[in-house]
Amino acid sequence: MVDTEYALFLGCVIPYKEMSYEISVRRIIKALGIRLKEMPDANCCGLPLEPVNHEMALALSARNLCIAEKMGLNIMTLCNGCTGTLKKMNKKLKEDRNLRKKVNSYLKENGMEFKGAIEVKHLVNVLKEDVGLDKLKKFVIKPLESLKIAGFLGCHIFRPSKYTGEKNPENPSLLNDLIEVTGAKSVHYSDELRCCGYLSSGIDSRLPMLLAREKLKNVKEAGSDAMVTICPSCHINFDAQQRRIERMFSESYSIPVLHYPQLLGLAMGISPEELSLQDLRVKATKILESVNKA
Amino acid sequence: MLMVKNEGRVILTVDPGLKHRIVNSPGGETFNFCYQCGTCTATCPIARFTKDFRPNKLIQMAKLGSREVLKSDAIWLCATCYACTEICPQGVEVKDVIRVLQNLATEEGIIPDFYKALSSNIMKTGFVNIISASILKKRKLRGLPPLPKTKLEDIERLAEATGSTKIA
Repeated sequence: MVDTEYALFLGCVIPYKEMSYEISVRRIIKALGIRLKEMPDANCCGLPLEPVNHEMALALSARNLCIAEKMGLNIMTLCNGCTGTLKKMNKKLKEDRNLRKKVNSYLKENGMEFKGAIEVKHLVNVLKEDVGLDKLKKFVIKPLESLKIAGFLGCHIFRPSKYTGEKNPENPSLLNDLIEVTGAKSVHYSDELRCCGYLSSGIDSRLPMLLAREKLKNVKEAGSDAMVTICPSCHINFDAQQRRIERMFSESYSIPVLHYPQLLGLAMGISPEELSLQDLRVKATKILESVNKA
Repeated sequence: MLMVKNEGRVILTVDPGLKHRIVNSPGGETFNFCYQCGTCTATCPIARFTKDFRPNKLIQMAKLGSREVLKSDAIWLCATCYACTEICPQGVEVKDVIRVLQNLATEEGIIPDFYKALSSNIMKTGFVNIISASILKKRKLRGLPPLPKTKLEDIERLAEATGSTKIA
């Protein structure tokens, strides 16, 4: 049974800094015949508050799940952090009776109750599991055969595997499969599963830059034409910060960083403008030329 | 509170109750399973670039009841990537133990300004980032639907129920 409608959970970062991600998602989802319903009363998934108040983070997370339950729809997330947090919360609340009792006592004042009726899926889970690679392939009319793409999966979408359900946490194939369905070659590079460090940026801004620099180096060494991300925070770290990293270390990368829906959209024959490619800080001109030549 | 001195200087302040508070906090249950193999630190992306953050060391010091660890800047450096939790051979939920240390520090009023700001934004808008009028205008121009408008009374009630009102 394939869902064709989801409650879209945008989170905090996408509306703030990654409009291109949202635009490209809405555009490809439309082309795939999937409907997205807005969650008009949603709140932060709770992840940013975990360090300072775990109970409030639980409550915030659970509140979103209740809203989606009331809508009768599974949640589609676009950010790894939101995905990991909501998925983990959903699973824990479904399985731990005491936790559910406690969290429902917080929610009671708002007239809400967690019932465990829905699932949480990241866009890439929806594409791989609900739509399926075979069906997706049929939409690919302009296979990106000339491109070598380094996929960056990010962290919260698959770790900890005991809550996310990732069956192969040492070598997850999720993003690689989705890259290859576009016709592009998925390139492996050193330490590709290592975190980008973005969530430390509020405390020490050097650390995520050092991590991103190393990753850009590895991606370049592996001969990639571009990187692809599935999380707005990771994207900011590699795209918006790339020029700053280049200047800080006197190095040059010029690696365009696309959101996955932008890559898929190009393969589906959608124009770069509709996919908001012009909003990328590191311009994708070279790869667009190579795609058009082919 | 026990003070361990070296040449007259306090090098470790021991709170014997700390380890019990940790193991009894949600997420800290696996704290005692650590046998100091150091695999978490070996895999940690933050430990890779700074000597100040060593997850296994933080755990060992916490077991000793170190007040210094609770008050340190180091515990806030965690990137929450869960690589440690994923790889721990003993099933210690390392990231969550670090998070418990952060929570216990917060309870004593030790909290980086960054998190004070995030908490305050959540109370004001339901989200951690304030979305400016110019962003809203841009959204309209690009044909994007309006953003969620969180019912703030709900958030306030949750904050009261979970004891969060004192942070923001």
